[in-house]
Amino acid sequence: MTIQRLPRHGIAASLVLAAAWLAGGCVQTTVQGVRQAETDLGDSESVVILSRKHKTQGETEDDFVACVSDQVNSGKDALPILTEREFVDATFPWFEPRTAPLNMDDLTQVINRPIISERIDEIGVRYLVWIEGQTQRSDETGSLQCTVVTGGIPGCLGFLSWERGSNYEASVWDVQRRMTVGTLSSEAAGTSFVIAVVVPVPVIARVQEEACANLSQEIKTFLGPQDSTGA
Amino acid sequence: MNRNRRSLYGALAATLVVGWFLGGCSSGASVTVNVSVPRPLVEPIDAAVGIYYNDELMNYVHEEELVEHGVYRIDIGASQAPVFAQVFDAMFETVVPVARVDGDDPDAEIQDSGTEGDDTASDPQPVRFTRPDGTPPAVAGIIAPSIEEVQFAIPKQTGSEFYEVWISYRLDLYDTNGNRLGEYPVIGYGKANEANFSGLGQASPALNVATIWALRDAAAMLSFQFRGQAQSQDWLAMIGSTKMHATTPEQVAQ
Repeated sequence: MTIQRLPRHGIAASLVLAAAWLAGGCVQTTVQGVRQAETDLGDSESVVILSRKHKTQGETEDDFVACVSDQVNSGKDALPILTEREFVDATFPWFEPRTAPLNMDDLTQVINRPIISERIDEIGVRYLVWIEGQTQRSDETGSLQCTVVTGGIPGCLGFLSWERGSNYEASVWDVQRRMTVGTLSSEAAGTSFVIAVVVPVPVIARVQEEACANLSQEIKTFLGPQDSTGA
Repeated sequence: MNRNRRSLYGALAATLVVGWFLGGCSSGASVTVNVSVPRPLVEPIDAAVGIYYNDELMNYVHEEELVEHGVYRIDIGASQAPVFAQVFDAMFETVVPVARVDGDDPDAEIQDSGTEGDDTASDPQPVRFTRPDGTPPAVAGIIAPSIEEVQFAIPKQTGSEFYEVWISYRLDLYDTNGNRLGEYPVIGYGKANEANFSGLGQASPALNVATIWALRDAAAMLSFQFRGQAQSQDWLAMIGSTKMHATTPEQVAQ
């Protein structure tokens, strides 16, 4: 067996990459929840995860809503979910971007209409979870340059880093009792970077994914079976 | 062999570089939207109405060149009849499609294919509508939708994060004798966040989604607001609709 020594610059590069990998995996998260009333999801009832679409900026990403919807609907303590599209189609045109109720008073007015309440009963929706917020990139530093060197081989050199922060809040409405039962929030922040010594190596902090996982777990805990200690 | 491999790498690199530069430029988009909308959940107005779709509406295409951003083409003609049929079927007790019979020139209403609408708005003479089989329609009134204007905006123009589409409709309201009694405007607005579409080639799918939302918004606002507006109330009163206020919609947040 032959052991080959790595050249010094190879060792240095490996150490930088390892450190980068470890640091890149680090995402700081914060979750908070305020319960305003008890919840009780019946066997035939379901939950809808919705995003606000009336704003001119700061709209929640579709893939985040889909991620939360999927994660709440899967794994341990999964909750029955009606997708956003299924719900807005079933109640069209009452939950469209320009017509959706913005507060509990508006929702009560909408649901008090027999034609709407009958449809809500029919599809079995008990809780509406309105998500607001987004993930943003900020504080970019460093530089990365790529070029085509002799022989037509592309190469890159440099270091680029940026921070991403996720900040999401979810309001939980009880359709049956016409009241807000709680507010949940999930924040996450992390630094991503790309190191390039000929070949660029990206180390991405999975900020949005962490925020999604945390908020989904919060929703499951909040709406799932309550223990004696409460939420 | 080695030289061939280098040539291959060179070609790949050149392709990547060219692709990179092209990706930085927007070369326009072309979308054909052929969708319908869910049946609106509204109380139907107790009236039988005829719906007339003109050819301009059914074949509507908006094409526009944006300086430095390419040519954009939005084809929404195929969606018009399915969307309006779904909405009017829910809004009225009875809906029947009607055809328009013009005097010497049956295609007069589609001569001006620009964005200014058809000639029905300025037509002082009664228009004769029939059922497709030529018999008189047993309806109280007739609605003829048309598109007055389509506008759109892309993030590179506005600096916002959205692709946006506006569709401005005009509904001409007739009595059963073809007298134009009024008109009702509907504006549909749709947007699609560019963050939901990855990098290269995002313009077409984003514009497609924004257009679908605009059609959906127009359908929503029409079914939501029609019976509460003065123009439509006057028309409904004139054509003798009986239960025009089955429910009274609240003021819609704009």
